[in-house]
Amino acid sequence: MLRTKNTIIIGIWLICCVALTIFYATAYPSHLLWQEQNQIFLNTSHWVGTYFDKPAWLGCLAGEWLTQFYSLPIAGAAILTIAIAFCVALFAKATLRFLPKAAAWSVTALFAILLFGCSLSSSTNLAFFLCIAGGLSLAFAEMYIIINKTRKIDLSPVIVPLAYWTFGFGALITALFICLFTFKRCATDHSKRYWWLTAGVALVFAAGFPALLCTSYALPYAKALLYPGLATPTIPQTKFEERLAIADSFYERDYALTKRLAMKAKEPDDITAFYYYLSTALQDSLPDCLLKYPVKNLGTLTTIGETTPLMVINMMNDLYYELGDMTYAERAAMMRNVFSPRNRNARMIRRLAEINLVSGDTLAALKYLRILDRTHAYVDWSKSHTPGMITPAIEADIMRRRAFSNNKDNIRLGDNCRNIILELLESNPGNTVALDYLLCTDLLLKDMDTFKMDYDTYCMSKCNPRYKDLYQQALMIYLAGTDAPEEEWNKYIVSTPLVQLFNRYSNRRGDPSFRGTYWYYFDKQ
Amino acid sequence: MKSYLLYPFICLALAACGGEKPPYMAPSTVQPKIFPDYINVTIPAQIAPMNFNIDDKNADYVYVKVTGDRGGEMEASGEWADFDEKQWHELTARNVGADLIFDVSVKDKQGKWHRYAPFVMHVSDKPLTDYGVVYRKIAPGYQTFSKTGIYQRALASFEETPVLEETAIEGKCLNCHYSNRGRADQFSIHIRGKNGGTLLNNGQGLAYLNTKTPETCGNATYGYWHPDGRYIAFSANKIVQNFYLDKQHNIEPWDVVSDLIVLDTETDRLITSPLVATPNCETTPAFSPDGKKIYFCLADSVAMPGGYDRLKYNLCTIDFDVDSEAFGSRIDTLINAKAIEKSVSLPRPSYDGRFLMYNLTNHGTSPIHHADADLWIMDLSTGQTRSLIEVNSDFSDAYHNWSPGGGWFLFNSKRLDGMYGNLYFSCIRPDGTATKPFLLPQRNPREYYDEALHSFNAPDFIAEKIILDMPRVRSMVKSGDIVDVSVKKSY
Repeated sequence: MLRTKNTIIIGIWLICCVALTIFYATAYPSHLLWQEQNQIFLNTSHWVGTYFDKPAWLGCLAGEWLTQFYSLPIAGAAILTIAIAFCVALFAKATLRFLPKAAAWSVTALFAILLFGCSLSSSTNLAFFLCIAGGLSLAFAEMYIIINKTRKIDLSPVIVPLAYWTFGFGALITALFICLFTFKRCATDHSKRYWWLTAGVALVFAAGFPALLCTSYALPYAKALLYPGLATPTIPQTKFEERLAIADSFYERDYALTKRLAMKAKEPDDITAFYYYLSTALQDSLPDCLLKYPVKNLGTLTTIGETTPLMVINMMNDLYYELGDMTYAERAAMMRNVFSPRNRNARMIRRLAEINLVSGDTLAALKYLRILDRTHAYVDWSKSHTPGMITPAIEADIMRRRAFSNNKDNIRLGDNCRNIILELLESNPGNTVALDYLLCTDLLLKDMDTFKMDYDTYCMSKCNPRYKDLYQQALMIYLAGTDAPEEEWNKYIVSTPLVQLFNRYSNRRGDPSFRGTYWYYFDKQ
Repeated sequence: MKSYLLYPFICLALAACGGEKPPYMAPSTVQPKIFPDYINVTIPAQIAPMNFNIDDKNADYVYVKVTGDRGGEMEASGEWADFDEKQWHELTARNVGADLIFDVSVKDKQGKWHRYAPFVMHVSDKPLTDYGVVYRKIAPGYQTFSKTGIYQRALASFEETPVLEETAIEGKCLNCHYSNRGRADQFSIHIRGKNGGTLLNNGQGLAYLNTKTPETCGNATYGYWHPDGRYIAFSANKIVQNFYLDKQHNIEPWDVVSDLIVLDTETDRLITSPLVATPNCETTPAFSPDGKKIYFCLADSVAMPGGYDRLKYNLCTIDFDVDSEAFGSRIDTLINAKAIEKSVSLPRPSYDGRFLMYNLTNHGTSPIHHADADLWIMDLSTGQTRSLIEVNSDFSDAYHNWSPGGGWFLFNSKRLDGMYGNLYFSCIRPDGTATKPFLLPQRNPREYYDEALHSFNAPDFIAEKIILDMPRVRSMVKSGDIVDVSVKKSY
């Protein structure tokens, strides 16, 4: 009977674990990749040594070491599931020591739901679960010692500080379970009343040890007590997952996938629009696609500062890098790094290496490449980008970007993207990504005078007219609005069918059948 | 609880591997490529072991035998040259004024040994008696700070401890630490953010001051203590920064306005003078060793940011009389840098009054952001000035400071990678020439410097370890319990 019960419990357990793994692998892969990229783990003794500068070294070390494998398919889902399952198993085992079975299993179920909820937040890292597991393990060890009377002396003054040193806030869990367990024993066996002392000692050490060490850890007491930090449960962040997936496909330079995912987004917003447009720009089709997406955001009106969301800093880093502004791409990467735990973000360190390769700062590039060389996930990438070992395709990409990046040594007078783009075009008028961003920004703002001025400056006067339907349509609005003579029309407009269409539209302004033309957008949207 | 607790385990693990020795072979004529470049440097006997890595990806194992000219020897072997601290100090102490000869053999990944031509490090007879150095660790200036902190590092060992970390006062940015000739009990730190102010200890306990007044143009920013420990000369700066178009130049911080002030730490009063509070830019003051005058940089105001390359600072002095608490009545120009299309910053007189070290750049007031920033030295007895070419690099060399004990100086240089400023040390000879600088030793230098993503900002020597009551600082900052300074105008 007991065996059957255990088999059922194990069966349910396994089913839950498999379900959880499938959930993380299919519904949350980009969240896991976000976690992996929001840190870096280096396989060096110096790096490992730095974990001892703060409490919870074992929880943080193990957590960050395991998180680096989140870049592998399924691995992140499996690791997170195992960590949660381990916490729940320990919790169940521990609560069964002092609660009736039904109550213990009910509390365990609630605890499992709570942990699952915490795992859904993008800011919860693996160290959180490992610190819980560590705290519970040590509580369990102390209970085992008490039950088996393997020691005559009370070991909680050792176990609780050990729990704090290795698992930070896990020590509170250790102390709590020791207390609950000893209360239960005291209540059932009056001869063991002195066990109250064990509970008291555990609590005093759990609260006192962080107070003792917070100065040397350079942490305020509350932060030291709860180090490395608690998580907040949340509901599944499907929208954010969708945005992360779009950003990840862009990171992998699969622009077709980026566009597809952006088009499929249930609630298109500034983020999906941003990546949609950037992908189209890199495929030389931004003017063709500008009016095809329901939300209009090129990112050119965004500036970054101390309160900018992390995702937006990532976006601006991508934008500046693709436009060719290595100074601002580096600035965004640096900012993103300092906003990451331990000031390191794997994705941005990779980007910093790329930026410095493009700008020709080989010494700085080598520094970042050497960092990536010591990781599990980026060692191959690092080798393929190390000067002297660079493949021809990567070399060509670097040279292409270098040709478009800014090489004037003037100081810039503002940080709005229009200035940045103008400076890039002054430096290299052939930078069509920058040119399209400039002209399309003008068109989204419906600033026809500025559009015409920019078109003249960077297309006509450079003898490099850009014959895209969108620009032709916009020019027609300008020419018609200024009663331009025929020779002006002939100078700018080359598409006779478009002229005929414009004439038709002029007689039916605002007609929804012209939706998708710039004329309709100009009049109605 | 700190990282050094890990080292016994690492040492045990290394010991377990055994110290392999090379077979006898004649040395080649080529010296090894080592990181950091410690070949022919001059070191103080008190410095931590000068561990180094072999700068060759094919190197698998290194064996180093160090022999002192005046006797003594030691060995190190392993993945990198990691010298035993106790043996190292015994050897350097025995060889003060003499050379240490390093005989390096390297086993490559194919198992073949190579013995290199030996190189030397000279142990100076000038002692470096300071406990260590203090610096701010910060990512290169990009407006945000996140995790910054002021740290102290022992010179005789690899121990680094925080003086004050941003994590301890949550969300505040820490500016540079200025101490009075390295004294641990006389220092100031400016804290930015909500409830920001100047944290001050004049030897009589901590105080938290608001140095921004209606009569002055900004907070006390760049500071330098008067030798008597009562006064601090500050420049009050309103700093903004602009980025460059190209990445090579990157960023240009500049002062919207800056004036000189002197803070009396006993009365919490600022002393100003219209001579040094003008529409022009007066900045980075430093008291002369006798405390009777202040060196500072002065630039004519130009329309910024467009005129950034016309912002040229001269090196000037003005008298300061402690008894009357007044500035002098005239400003003398010591170096007319503008005339040679250059700009001076960060004047630092040696504490014995012999030399004055400063930065020279093409323009501006922030040498750490200028690759052309070089260290220059002036012999104060003759007024002769020259570039420290034996020390300077193709990258920014700046933020220099003298050892209170004399002879030694440190500076921040970006020569490793062009991005991050690291700490270098050198010794000035009596004739004003400097020895080849050496990088701050680390247990495993290659790992440390490769993995660091911070600059060693505004470094200085400290005579003894600083012990700061962090909970008290936190409560002072959190409560906003700040003392407003008053202003005394001297004419």
